[in-house]
Amino acid sequence: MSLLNLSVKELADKLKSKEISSVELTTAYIESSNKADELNIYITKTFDLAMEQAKQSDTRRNKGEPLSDIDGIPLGIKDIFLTKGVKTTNASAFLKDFIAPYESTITQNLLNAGMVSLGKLNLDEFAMGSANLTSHFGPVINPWKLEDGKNRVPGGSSGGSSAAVAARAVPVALGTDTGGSIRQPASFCGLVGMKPTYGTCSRFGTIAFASSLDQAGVLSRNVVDNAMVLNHMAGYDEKDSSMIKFNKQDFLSKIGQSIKGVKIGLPKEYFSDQLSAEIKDYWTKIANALKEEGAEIIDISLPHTQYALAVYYMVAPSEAYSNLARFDGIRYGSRAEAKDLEDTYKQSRKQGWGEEVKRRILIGNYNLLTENFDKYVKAAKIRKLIANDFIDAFKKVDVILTPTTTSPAFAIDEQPSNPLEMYYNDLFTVTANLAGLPAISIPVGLSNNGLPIGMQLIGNYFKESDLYAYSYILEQKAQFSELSSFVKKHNLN
Amino acid sequence: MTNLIEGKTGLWEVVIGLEVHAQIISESKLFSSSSTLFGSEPNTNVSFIDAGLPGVLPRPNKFCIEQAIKTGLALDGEINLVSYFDRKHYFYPDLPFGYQITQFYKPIMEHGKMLIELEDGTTKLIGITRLHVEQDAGKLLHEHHPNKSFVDLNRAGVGLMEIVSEPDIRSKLEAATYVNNLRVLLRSIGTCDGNMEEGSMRCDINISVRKPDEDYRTRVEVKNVNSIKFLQQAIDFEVEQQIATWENGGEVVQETKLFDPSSGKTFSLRKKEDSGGYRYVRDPDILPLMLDKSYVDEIREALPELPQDKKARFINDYSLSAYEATILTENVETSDFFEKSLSNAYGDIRNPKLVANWITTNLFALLNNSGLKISESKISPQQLGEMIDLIEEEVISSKIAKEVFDIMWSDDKFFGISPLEIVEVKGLKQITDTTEIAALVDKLCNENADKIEQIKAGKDKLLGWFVGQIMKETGGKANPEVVNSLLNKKISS
Amino acid sequence: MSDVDLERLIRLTNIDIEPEILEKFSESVKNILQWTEELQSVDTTGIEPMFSVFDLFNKGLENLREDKVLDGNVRDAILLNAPDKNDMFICVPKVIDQE
Repeated sequence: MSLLNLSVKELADKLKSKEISSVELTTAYIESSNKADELNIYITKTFDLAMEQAKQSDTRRNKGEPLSDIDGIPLGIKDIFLTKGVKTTNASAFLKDFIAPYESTITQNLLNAGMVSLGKLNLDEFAMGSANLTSHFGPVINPWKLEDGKNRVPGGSSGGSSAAVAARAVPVALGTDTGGSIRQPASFCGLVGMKPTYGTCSRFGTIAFASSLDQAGVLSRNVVDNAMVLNHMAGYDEKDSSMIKFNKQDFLSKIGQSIKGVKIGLPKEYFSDQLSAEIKDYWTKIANALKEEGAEIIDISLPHTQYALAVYYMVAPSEAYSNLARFDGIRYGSRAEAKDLEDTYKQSRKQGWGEEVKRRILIGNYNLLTENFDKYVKAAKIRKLIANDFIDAFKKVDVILTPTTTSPAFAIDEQPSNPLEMYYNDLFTVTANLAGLPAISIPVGLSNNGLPIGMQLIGNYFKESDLYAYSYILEQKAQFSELSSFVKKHNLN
Repeated sequence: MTNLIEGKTGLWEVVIGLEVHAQIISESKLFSSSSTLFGSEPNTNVSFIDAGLPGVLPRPNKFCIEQAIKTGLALDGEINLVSYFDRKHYFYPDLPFGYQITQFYKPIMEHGKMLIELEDGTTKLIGITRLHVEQDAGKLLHEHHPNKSFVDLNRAGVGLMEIVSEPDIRSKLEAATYVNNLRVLLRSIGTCDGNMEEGSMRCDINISVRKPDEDYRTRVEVKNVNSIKFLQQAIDFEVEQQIATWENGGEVVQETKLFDPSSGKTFSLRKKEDSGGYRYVRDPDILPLMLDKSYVDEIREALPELPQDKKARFINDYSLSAYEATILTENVETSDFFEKSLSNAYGDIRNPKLVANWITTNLFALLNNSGLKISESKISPQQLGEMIDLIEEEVISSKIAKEVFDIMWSDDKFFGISPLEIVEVKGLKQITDTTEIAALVDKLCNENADKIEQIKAGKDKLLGWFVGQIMKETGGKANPEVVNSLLNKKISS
Repeated sequence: MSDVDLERLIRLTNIDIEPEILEKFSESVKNILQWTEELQSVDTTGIEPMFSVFDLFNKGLENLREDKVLDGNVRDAILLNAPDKNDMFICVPKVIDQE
């Protein structure tokens, strides 16, 4: 099963040299995907479509007209992106039968690059969750299993994406990140997960959770794969008028550069009580490793970090309350039988959504009530302070190194009963969303009991190319090469 | 104060503020590229954006913003160089997003004003609190099905300007004048067609009554009044009811009402107690509107002459009465017709009083009878001007002029033909040739010597008979002054 | 901070909530709201609220579109997912009160 063992880069090279075909490759991943059914990673498989696309890719390739360096590479799509003619559910009962009538800009960009879409991957309902436990289609199982035999969470909300890549059901997958929803699952599954600068990827056709925080990105096995795919996703889209025009970067351009003289900041506020000792050790270890490569390690302060989670849980649910107002059961989605119009709204929303979505829109609505609005504005001001902390920090350092999560993946039956504790999963990741900064999680090793641990690099605005360059060095130093127990069990290497 | 109303308990003052919703003239909608055309087949002028599908994003129309700035400047307001779009949340099937995009916290214009004329000839300045840009909603049709309503989203997303007055209005007549002036103004600058019957201009009335010199009392809002007649009827009804309520020891409650044209009454909408407000919050999908001062100045420079200014000019430069000036500046087409009729090919100005009089009496009568607009007039300004010249040069009398005017209007053979040619072809030229008239006078006097004698004996009235005979003989073309003077000479000889 | 009136909040959110999860909600909603209450002590004098990232970068009107008709006439695609519809319209239960 050597095809599954190859990186996107290696596959691209083999496709280019015609050593393999996209049909072969796609067939291998379809087989592998079917083996992974027990992990519940797919909501909708589009394997027929994938084979069709693979054939077309091979035709192009044979004519010498490939669309891009990743033409013919299979892809898994988080089921939050609209895909024309294909069910797009957002892991919700509300949209369980919704057929997207148009294509999202991001998936269109990747189709334009010739990628082959294997299907729509599971996630937390409306991307609200950190463990992929809130999906209407059931939880996703992390391919990393310990000897205790317990099913662990793959992280969330892009849990289907992280599990799929880690289980080798797809070579690479799309995610979205509102408070850590790419980086945290990447960390839990031993993957590279990038959330670019807000506005790098168009939000058009991605179902909004919190508009000012949402950003699409890539989950991959390594840094180069990640940059290769992001290269084809990013770019100004006139349909998303919240983007700003910026010069397009080649995210691969700086990979291989030295890290000598690069100033790396370690924010003291991230040495929190919640942080597990072993992750703290990894943090120091990685910092030292980068220092060996010539980087300068600098202690910095991001003084408003302690308020980030609270600000996030003011901002995200409030925007969600507003964004979810359109899901009223009138024009699409499931409509409940009801006695009148008002009841139609109430019952449709009751039946359409699970507990977490309801909880968050209740909180959001509360925040936006006239009598509470001053508090909301206050939170928005503190958000500015948090962003200012970073702006100040980037006057002193080039990049910031932190752990991605406070602890490794937990068992599904160990989920905290208090949602507040669950929200602490986002402790280290929400700040980059609030400020709009690019941040990436890179796997650095295993915990004592054998679960992946990730480190996060946060860069300055639009410094993705640098971030990938630093990540590449970090990746080289960490030499993380462990395979998930699922891959080992099924001999997918 | 002439506006006070006598009640059982003394005098009452009416306090009115108006919120006028004016549809912006534009090709495409405010946040999408679909058409604004009125009267299209249901749900055809609707894009995925207008239908509020998942994942869609609004994209503002620059021309709509320009139209709003233009209107704001025409209302002598201050343009905010930074303004924002906010979301106003409520559920209704004609509102696809579950919120309306509007400008709540920071409108594009503030502190405008509008001069209105009062009945006694004086003027009054009505303050305009703000002008903001927002989306129109779709429409519900209730008549097609016994237990369903149908949703038509053609109008959903069309740009609106909401123009909010201060509570400076004190009577229904002031209200009517204000709305009419506003309509004239918006039409003259081409930002709204002002068609109240098509709903492209609608009015919400905030109305209360109070004893003179006391604080404002509770106000009632009457929504969606769509004619100036209904506006006045609604005010009449509401004032009477509120005064009666207070005088009978009751309390007016703050509520929203609708006006029913068939009964002339206002009625309460079902009370939404405790709505929690509209949960206004900044729309994160749209960047703040940042205007350059130079851009605003350009729009200011390009503003056409405003109706108020034009009216003042007509009064000052042309010595027209306020009444004439008002009528002639009612719309651009009329004022253009007047000014084109007024100046000849060499740029000389004709007699303004005479031109105004011909337009406001004779031309308007013909337009009225045939149901045509002045832009569709069968007589051109040039024809009218030349006809005025013929009168002034005594080529024709006023009486003949009316005949010429009728020919120009109704005789297709002479459509667009210069009045001079008509006069010549039809032989309508006034006879001022003394010898020709003298010959007629001589002949008449000779044939009626007895009547001459009677005149000489003091029967002056017979003189008129002679004049009449000459006119009859000449088909009215004889210059009456010449006839008179020749007759007098003959008699006294 | 006073107890959140959850019944009222639910009514205002236009949603119906199963009684069995209402109690769970009560606790968690209160928790989170208490947490956010802690923000009130932070000094934000002179700080503008940040409602979107590009408040920081905005460059005027360059993201606005020209006034051209380029979209629409997709009625069938719009009606595709409507739960109750006919040839031309989306249908809703009869609305008596109009606004």
